Amino acid sequence: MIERPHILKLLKQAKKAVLNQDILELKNLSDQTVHSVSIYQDEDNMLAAIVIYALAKLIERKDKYSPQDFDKYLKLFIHTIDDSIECVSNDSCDEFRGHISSMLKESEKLPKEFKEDVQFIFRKARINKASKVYEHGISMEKTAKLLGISQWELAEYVGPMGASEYPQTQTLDIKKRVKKAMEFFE
Amino acid sequence: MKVVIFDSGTLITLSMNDLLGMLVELRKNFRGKFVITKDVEDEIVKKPLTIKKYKLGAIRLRKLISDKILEFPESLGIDGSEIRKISYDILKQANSIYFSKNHPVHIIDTGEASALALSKILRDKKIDNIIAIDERTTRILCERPENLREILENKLHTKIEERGSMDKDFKNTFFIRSTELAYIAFKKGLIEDQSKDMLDALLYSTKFKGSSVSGSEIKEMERLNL
Repeated sequence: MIERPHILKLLKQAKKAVLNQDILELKNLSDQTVHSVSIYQDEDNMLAAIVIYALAKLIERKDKYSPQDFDKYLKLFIHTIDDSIECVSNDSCDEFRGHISSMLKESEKLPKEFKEDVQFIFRKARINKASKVYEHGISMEKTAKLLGISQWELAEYVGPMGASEYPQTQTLDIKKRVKKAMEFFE
Repeated sequence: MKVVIFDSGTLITLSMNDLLGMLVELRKNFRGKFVITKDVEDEIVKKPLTIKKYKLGAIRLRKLISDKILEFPESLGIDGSEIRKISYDILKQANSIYFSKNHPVHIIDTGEASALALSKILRDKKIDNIIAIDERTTRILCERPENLREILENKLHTKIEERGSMDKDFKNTFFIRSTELAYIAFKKGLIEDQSKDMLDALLYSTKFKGSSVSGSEIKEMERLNL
């Protein structure tokens, strides 16, 4: 596991934010992990970013679900974070991944609508993190593969974002590019 | 002979905007070939065929391949193994340029590298070619690598060390995006509606489906009198 102290600190802060139902803090914590994901491109940092973002979205939508179902799943989420903190402290990456995977499997037991929503949230969390990684300068294909999504999903998401507005993105005078392209198609 | 090498992103943008018909017209009016590598085929056909939301796009793109609007490098006498070998070298080179905290930042992947490899092979054979690519990283890496370092540094909030560079030859790669393709199709009269509004709609549609073009570039394109 790369940057273990960072993931550990992050999970502890995430737990605190969940208990306070602090959605903004959770999203902020998830974004912090994007730096590590972009540099190290390792599964553990990525999982932490996805899980924390998904948690924020789940709390954001809690009014959609029955309070019993929501509380039950949130407890499971918190329990998973506790277990993950322990695993990361002991440097057992496999166990950390195992806990996250078990938590996702548990969502299969939820009522249909809630289950579908949880799956949708996790998918969206992957796409959201991918768009941030792309914004950090990693290519579209590399990012899509890293986050386990298709380039089609990513293209739809990054289009409206501001990454193409950075001045560094303009690498050739547009007039020259268009003129040369027109000549090529003559 | 001229060749346009397509990366997956450009074809995805055109497909999602229902502009594949425009691509067919462009190909019919072009004295050359539109080519994709096998890696790109995987991304535009094989993978999306397994995702219901994008399956129709994949089927339409598959038809372009069977109609030979999009062809493979073999149609130019270029073997896949030759592309793979050069792609591997490109990947190795590109992914060990930028370092953060002593760790190489991997910036591109096989599909993008295969487009660069094919372009290089064609250049060596003196075949005029351009790459149509919508994502920005590969383009910046070849055209202005120092800008990529700046983006990485600004976004990662950490010092980025440049320990290498791409071969100078890659500076000779010329890139366009789906945005320029739409502009060309419009200017060639391949789009029936020749209103300013239509041009504006076309160009922005590419931007919102993934083409890395800025709003100011689009405005400038609209003012051009070519």
